[in-house]
Amino acid sequence: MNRAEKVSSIVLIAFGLFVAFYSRQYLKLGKMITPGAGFLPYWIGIALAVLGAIWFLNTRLSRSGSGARGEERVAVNAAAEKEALRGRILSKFLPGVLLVILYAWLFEKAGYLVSTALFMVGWQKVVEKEGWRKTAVIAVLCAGCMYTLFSYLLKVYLPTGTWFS
Amino acid sequence: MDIFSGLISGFSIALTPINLLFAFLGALVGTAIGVLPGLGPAATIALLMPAIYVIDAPVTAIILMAGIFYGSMYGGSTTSILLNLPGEAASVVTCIDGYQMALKGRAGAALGIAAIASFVAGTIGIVGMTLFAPKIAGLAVGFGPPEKFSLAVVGLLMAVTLSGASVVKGLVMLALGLLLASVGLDPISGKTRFSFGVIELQSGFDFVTLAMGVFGLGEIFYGLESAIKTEIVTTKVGQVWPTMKDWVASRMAILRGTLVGFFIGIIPGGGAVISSLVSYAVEKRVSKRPEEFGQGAIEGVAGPEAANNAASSSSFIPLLTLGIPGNASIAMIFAALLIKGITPGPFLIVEHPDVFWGVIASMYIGNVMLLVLNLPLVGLWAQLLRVPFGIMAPVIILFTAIGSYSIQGQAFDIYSLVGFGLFGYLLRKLKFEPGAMVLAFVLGPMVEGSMRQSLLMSGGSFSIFVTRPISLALIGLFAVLAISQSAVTLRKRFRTTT
Amino acid sequence: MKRVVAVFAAVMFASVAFPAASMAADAYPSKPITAVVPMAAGGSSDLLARAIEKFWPKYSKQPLAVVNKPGGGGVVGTEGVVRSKPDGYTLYLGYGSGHDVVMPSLQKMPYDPLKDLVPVSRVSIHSVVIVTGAKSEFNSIKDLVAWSKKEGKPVTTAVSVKAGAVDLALTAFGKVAGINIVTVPFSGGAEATTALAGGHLMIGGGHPSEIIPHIKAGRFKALAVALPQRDPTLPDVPTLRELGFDVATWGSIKGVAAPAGTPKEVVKYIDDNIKKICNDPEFLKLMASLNQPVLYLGSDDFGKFMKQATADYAKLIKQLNITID
Repeated sequence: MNRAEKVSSIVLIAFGLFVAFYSRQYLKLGKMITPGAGFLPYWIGIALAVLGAIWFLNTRLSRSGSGARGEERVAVNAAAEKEALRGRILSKFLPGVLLVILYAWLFEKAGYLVSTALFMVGWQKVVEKEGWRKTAVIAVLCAGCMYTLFSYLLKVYLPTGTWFS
Repeated sequence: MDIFSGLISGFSIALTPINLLFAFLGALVGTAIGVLPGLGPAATIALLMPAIYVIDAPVTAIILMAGIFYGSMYGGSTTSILLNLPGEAASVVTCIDGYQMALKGRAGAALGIAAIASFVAGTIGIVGMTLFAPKIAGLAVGFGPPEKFSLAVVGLLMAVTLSGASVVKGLVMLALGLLLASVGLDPISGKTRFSFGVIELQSGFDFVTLAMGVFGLGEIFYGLESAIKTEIVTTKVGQVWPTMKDWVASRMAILRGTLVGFFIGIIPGGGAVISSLVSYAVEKRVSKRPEEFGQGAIEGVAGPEAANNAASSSSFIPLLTLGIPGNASIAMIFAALLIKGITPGPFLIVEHPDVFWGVIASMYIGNVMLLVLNLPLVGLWAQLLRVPFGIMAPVIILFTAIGSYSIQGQAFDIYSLVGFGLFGYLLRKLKFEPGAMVLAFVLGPMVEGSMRQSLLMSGGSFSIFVTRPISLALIGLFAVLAISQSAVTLRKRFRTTT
Repeated sequence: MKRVVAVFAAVMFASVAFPAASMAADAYPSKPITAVVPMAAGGSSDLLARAIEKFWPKYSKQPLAVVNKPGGGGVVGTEGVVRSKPDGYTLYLGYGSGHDVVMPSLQKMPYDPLKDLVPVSRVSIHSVVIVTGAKSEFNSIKDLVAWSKKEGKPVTTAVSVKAGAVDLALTAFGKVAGINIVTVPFSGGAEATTALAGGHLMIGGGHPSEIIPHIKAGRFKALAVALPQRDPTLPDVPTLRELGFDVATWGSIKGVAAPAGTPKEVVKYIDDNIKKICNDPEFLKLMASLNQPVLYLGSDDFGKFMKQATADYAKLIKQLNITID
């Protein structure tokens, strides 16, 4: 975790500096009586860079002081844990995220009902590894509920699919 | 007409069958949209406008709209507690401890206390309205740009207290929230900020997309990656009702929250959000076990819930007494009143006492209805958490995605939702608490806008913030809190190194 | 596998069949029409839109739904309409406001209000009235000018949005009178009026719809109106010209517009409807109670008027050398 924090804090410093630079350059700071569009973002960028630096220093400081006892046992468990984590990321996390992105892409093209149904099917099969029967039931029910709620009850405009019109 | 006879006549109007029906409808619809992501009370009232015009009696129309408005406050806390999905900006604070309570199997207690707190606060708020409305209306206009700025800054500071242990991380969240708020068209300069050529970013990010993404999707993505979960709640749902211990702990929190919410809610713009923040910070400050906050402290639910309901009651005061709308939903009600031929303002109570007292009486009744609606449902809602994660997670994603889309009708919003979800996941991995960021996002426009207005008023001098009494008091409060907070942090730092 | 195909087929059929079934004949309008008001709820544009919304179903089988999309001084919502499909189901209510006729001469716009929008009908004109708090030491424009010249201090002025019609009128007045007017923009008329009611600024500019209730409540005093002749809703308030300051503007024009490319028959349908509404005595009564005059102009005349108004504003801006920071 410490390494992740160290990297992130450096990224934050860089980000903060970028924001400050962009604000000053393109958005103008303006005069005191009328601060420009870049005024507040500029100071936010500076603040982020400073805070990122403090964060970085904090991660360095907390390294010292972790007990030496039990570190061996911790190391063995850590390796196994890492493997399990990687497994979960590949089998559940990534597919889940990709499915949502796919959903966003399909939404206007295939219409919201088809996209919803396909999303559900994808989720049940890939993330949850359910059987086909249960998947189908869940998907149809879900799409049906969405239709009832959004189109029938609320009459919200939702796309019906450019592929089909 | 004095208060007593006014109330009597008000109740006689509010208790007619048609007004009772509309009060109930409003409460029901309000609760429903509070639960649903994407649709807020202002948008719902706008949708129902054509129907509202057709309603004959103005009283009935307002009763309906008011019901929707404060009903949504009840509904918003339900999804906050159960699913970590804040329905409204005022419910974000409830997510923090409410959801933690749900994860510990105490969803029922959280929901129950939220409903009770809302009822008590709403009722006391209405009593306050009844007795003091004209006198405290002056508070609403007394808050000019410098005061709003100072108040928003105090609000931001309170938001940092949401960040748990690390102040540095809390401040980072704050800064990021303000930055996100500045994306889009800046009306004062006409420049578009940080859009990098993407057309959809010209109007900036939407609160719903941000909050749903960071809170809801972030939690789901995190759940996907962490150890196997068959349900959102792994422990038994257990006690469905708040225990006596809960009630004792929450009593004072509710009272404090009511006070905070009532007075801050009168201030136009940001009343409910800031009051929930202040209430949370106050509770954390006075608690004997502040380390519990963020892990499921019931005061962290009772206080802010009371605050945001009291605020929604008192936000009617500037409307009914001065004709000044304080937030988007009230502005809708304001417009509807004008179209119906009633001018809200100091003459309202004289020209249309039936409207004034009828609405107030109906608010009492509405609050009772909401309590009756929500309490029995607590058990039902709590069962929702036993639905397997494999079904709940995608359903939540679908709900929030469709809800996000429906705001502006662009697929870009669903992409943003995912983006914010991934960001929320990252924040959790790095041990950041996203609440402060979301709240800073909400308060950002108020902070920047009032700052620029104040500087124009003062000719560029920052002294305006300390020469005006209310603003000075708030800045002073900010300084006191900031200093005492740093003292506490420094003391902790020294203690661990020795 | 067969089951999966069956499920998919059912879902796809449902998603196509349901919407198709609910669509009526193709004649316009066959579904509700969205009217975008790019200002906050409760302001003068919003009230006008809701008045139209109320009477629209009387003359059309499909309702009008008003949606508020404030932001960017009106630019965000209007741009949304500009980029929407020109099928007549998305309209812009409030066409002719400051950000349409004033802003293009002052800053870069992401669209051209004259070319990218089709004028459908003019409904009203909201004049700019200069007001001050009832307890203010100023009782007339003369007092104000004298005070400012003597003290040498700027006059803080509440205006609804930056580079809008109100902002411009007050800035122009300042230039002509030779005093330092500092306009402080808010997010809409309602907010600006509230701030002025609190006494946080010295004077303010607003539309009759927003300020007359406050005048009646004894919170404001009207000092002058920036029109060529007196405003009928405020017959006792002198014009700036009468007081010796040669500033007169069109105020904030309020009309209906559709995105460029909207078919002519659709525009005509909407225009005819608006005309009927503007002749409806109940509508006139409602507008009077809102302190908004009804000044109907049909599509072609409105188009000419818009060009004229934009040119007049541009001329005024150039003449007085008005810029924004």
